Amino acid sequence: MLAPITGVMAVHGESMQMGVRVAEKVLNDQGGILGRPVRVVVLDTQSDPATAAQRAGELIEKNKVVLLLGTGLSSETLAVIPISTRAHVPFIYSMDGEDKTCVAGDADKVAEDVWGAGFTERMIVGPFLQYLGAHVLRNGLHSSIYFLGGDYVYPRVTNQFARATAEKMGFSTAGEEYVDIGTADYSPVIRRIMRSKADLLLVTNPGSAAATFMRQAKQLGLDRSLAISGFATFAQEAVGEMGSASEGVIYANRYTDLLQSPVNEAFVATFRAMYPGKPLLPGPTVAAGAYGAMLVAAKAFAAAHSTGSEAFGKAMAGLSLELPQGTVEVDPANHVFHQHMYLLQVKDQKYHVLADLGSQSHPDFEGCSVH
Amino acid sequence: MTTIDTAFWTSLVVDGTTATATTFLLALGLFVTYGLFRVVNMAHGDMVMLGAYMTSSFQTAGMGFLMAVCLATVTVALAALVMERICVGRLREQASLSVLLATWGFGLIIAQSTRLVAGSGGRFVDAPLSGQVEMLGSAYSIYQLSLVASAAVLFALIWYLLAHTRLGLRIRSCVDNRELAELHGINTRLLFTVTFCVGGALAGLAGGLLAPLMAVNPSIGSDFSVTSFMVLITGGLGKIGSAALGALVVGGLRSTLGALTTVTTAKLCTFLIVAVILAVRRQEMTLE
Repeated sequence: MLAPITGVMAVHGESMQMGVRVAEKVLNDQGGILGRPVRVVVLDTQSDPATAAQRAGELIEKNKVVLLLGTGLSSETLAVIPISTRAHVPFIYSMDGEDKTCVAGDADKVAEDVWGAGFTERMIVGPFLQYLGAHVLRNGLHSSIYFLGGDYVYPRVTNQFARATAEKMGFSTAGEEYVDIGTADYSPVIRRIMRSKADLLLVTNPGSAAATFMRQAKQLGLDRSLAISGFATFAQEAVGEMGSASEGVIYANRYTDLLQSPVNEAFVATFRAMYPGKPLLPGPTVAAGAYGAMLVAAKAFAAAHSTGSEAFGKAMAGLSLELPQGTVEVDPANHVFHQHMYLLQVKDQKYHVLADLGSQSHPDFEGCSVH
Repeated sequence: MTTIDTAFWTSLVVDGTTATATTFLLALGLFVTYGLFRVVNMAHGDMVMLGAYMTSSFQTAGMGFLMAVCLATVTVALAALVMERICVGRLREQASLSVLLATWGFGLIIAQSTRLVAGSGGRFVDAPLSGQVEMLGSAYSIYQLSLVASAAVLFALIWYLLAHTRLGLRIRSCVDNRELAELHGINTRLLFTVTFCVGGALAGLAGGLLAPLMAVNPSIGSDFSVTSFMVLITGGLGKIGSAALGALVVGGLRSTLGALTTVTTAKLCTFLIVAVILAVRRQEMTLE
């Protein structure tokens, strides 16, 4: 496990590590894989691509691992892919984000040893907007949207895709704005959003910047004049900083610990037994995502009757498994996991399920990252 | 159209005033330590962060907002006392660079200790007032307006204290000519200790009062230090009115420019203004 235990993704790293430790316990309680106990080695990537690549090399050369899991940032994942490819050691990245399963430098070719367990923006934007238009927004699919993002690559790329998708569906754009993530006073931005008369605000600004924005937006009553939602903005750690300012926000994601299924209830019970009193309960994606990625890999190794990468790859193609987040299926063509997306509403800083948007799949290699 | 224009221009004035007030509150503690005594307190931002964190902790423990802010203010004042007794008071006799490095180190200790005790995750503070008031076509936060009133009260108090009280006279004489003040029987060391603690208390108070408007986590301190130094560089040192003028430029003007252009353009313009003023006043700001 390549976990960003320190650095900007530290909160995710801790949650990720807890998720794989739960998987390690569950698998070993069931007798391990292929009759052998499972041992997870966790190394810190420091949220840094160069360190992630170095640690991946260490895990392969020194620890002789048969599977790589993890990383926090996309840049870390992209740095690990060549290492995994060169050594033919399977690598499953467990976080959400753009598709990264293509070969470095070739956006049309699948990287044979790489799988994406998280969801991509291609899997979430369309169904999410469709639901909001049909059930939440006052002007339905003819509503106007204000796009707000942090001023860096990810929000711009996500909003570009979201805006194009929304306009194709009939939505109009009331405004698009990018703000420095160190901004302390959001009142000029909030006033512009209010004057735009938009029906929906989509915020793509992960981390503390979103918390500051939401706290000031709440003070000025922005949530009274339009619906507020966003991508990668209302994750557990940000909601912890937003507090009451996140109340009522609608959010789409692949997991919440409140999902009602025996598999999820068992996972949450084991997690809480192993980490009692931890403030980081299973986050929307991170702990459950890492846990699920490891269980899928375990099933593939068992089906392959081998720890060899080639047999593992064949077993992964089309593999299906019931996880805490619902049923997932590994796409044999692009290696991205098909999975259910849920529409969630934040109440008392918990994610309550409004609707199951159904199983979503990533189309081909659209938007696949290359170096 | 006229209504929209009235609402827009009113919001420019009110939001600009609010931004000036919050920026003034943020920089007030640094005005006392750096503006009056020329102590380059690089830990100022982390003291504000500590005030915000302590307010959150006391509120989580079940206290009311005002009680939580008061206790946070006292806690940060005590932290300032420790800092002053351990190093700042002694190093003040030496080059300013020593104080700069020592306070920077203390800032790191405050931030890392907070991270160690409370974790990297963020906290929040709920404001005691959450509604809005409608004025000329726009809604304004009652809590933010109450911060304008708080800033005005603190401005008046400090101005009165410095200009019209015996303590103010002692502080001014100590700032102007310390040797002469000592010859007149003023205990300048004690006076400095008290003033440094007051600076810490004001930083803690700012942290508590501003916490409902921001994400509270151990990393926020450095931005607060930068903004506070910008306020004092822009307005000038030594007078509370100068600090208010600096807050007007760094907070108010930036907010207004942000509304008329973009937030990024406003930030750039503010930095340019501060850079020009710094170039003009480089003699006044040079460390000894």
